[in-house]
Amino acid sequence: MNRSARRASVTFLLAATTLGAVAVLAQADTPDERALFIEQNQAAREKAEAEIAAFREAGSHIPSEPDDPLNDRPDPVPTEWAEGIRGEDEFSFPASYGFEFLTIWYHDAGDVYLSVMAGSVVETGEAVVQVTRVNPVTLRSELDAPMFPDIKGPIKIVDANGMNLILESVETHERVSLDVSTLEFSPVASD
Amino acid sequence: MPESLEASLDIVMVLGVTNDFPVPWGTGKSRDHGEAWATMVKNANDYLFDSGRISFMLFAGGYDVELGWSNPGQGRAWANGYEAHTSAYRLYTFGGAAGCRSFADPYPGSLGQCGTPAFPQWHDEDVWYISIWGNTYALPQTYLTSGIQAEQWVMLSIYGYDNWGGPGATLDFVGPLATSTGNTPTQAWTDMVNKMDARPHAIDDMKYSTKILFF
Repeated sequence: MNRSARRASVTFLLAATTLGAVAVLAQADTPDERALFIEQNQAAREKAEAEIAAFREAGSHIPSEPDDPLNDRPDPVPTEWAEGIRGEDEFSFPASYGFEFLTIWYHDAGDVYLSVMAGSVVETGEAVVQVTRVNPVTLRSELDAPMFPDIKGPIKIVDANGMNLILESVETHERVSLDVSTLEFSPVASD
Repeated sequence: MPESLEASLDIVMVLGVTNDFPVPWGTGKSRDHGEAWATMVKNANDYLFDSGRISFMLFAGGYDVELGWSNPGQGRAWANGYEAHTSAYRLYTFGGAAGCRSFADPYPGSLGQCGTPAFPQWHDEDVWYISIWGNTYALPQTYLTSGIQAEQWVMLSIYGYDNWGGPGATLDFVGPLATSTGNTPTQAWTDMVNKMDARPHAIDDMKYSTKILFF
């Protein structure tokens, strides 16, 4: 049986289950009818579960599409800095609602992973950067105090070199480097 | 609880929706939406089938039934629509039981009042029905630290036992649903276990401790 034929037969099975379940829907008023309703409902469930198991069994013989871009996604835990959000745990602490973060970069450093957010203070537009340290086992996160580099905000993280992140002003394109190990800023020479 | 399905899967992705229906909708439109939601779940699983991923992943439906967001007729209509279209793909209900009986309330063994000031028409049978009809499993919200939500869900399960034919009519609790506030998942689990232990006929067959997060 080819794939489409197999899928059609599975679809038929599911449709048959649906019709059976609909038949069970009839309202029951007497105790006997209520007990029968439950019995039929349970039977329909078991049948549905069995059919899904058969459906999955049929599909398990189909190899994953080799050209599907989902197969080529990078490892979600980078050994180097990467832009994005590694997990929900960055946000499981009381958020700093006074900041608007434009970019978030993260980095797996073994017993901790680091998440660095850069943007601006909402009310003043001042450049701000903030580091979160997450325990990869417990997912407990600690939010460092915000830091304010001496360039015009808002800022983005635009590059990384080891533990140094390069921060750039969106408007003036001035850059500073943040050493995430020491949390010290240093100037970056313009090109 | 058919453990075998979940035990054989790496991921069950629940595609959930609430009963906060748009104001013009009636029961017909709500039922249509339930059917459409089931179609979406089925199509998503067809994609998994065709791409060879069905062996480790499955999509399921989700329904956050809040008793302050619609009347029971619409709430039931959506579930009926989903189940009429496909009972094959499980529906996980993860709603509340606002206003339903707790242990402190008298239990006459018959229909009890649930609901909210906005929608006081709900009865325990409505919530029980939506949580058990077809291929549905309950993830009861149990985030309040008072433990009252666990009591309400246990009473709903006992309502099924007393009125719909005994053990087969108790609710299948997949596990308690904690949120970002109030009970931790462990506290929610303990609440449910303690409350079930405190009442006969409430069957403790929970498998998972869960937590929902909001973004």
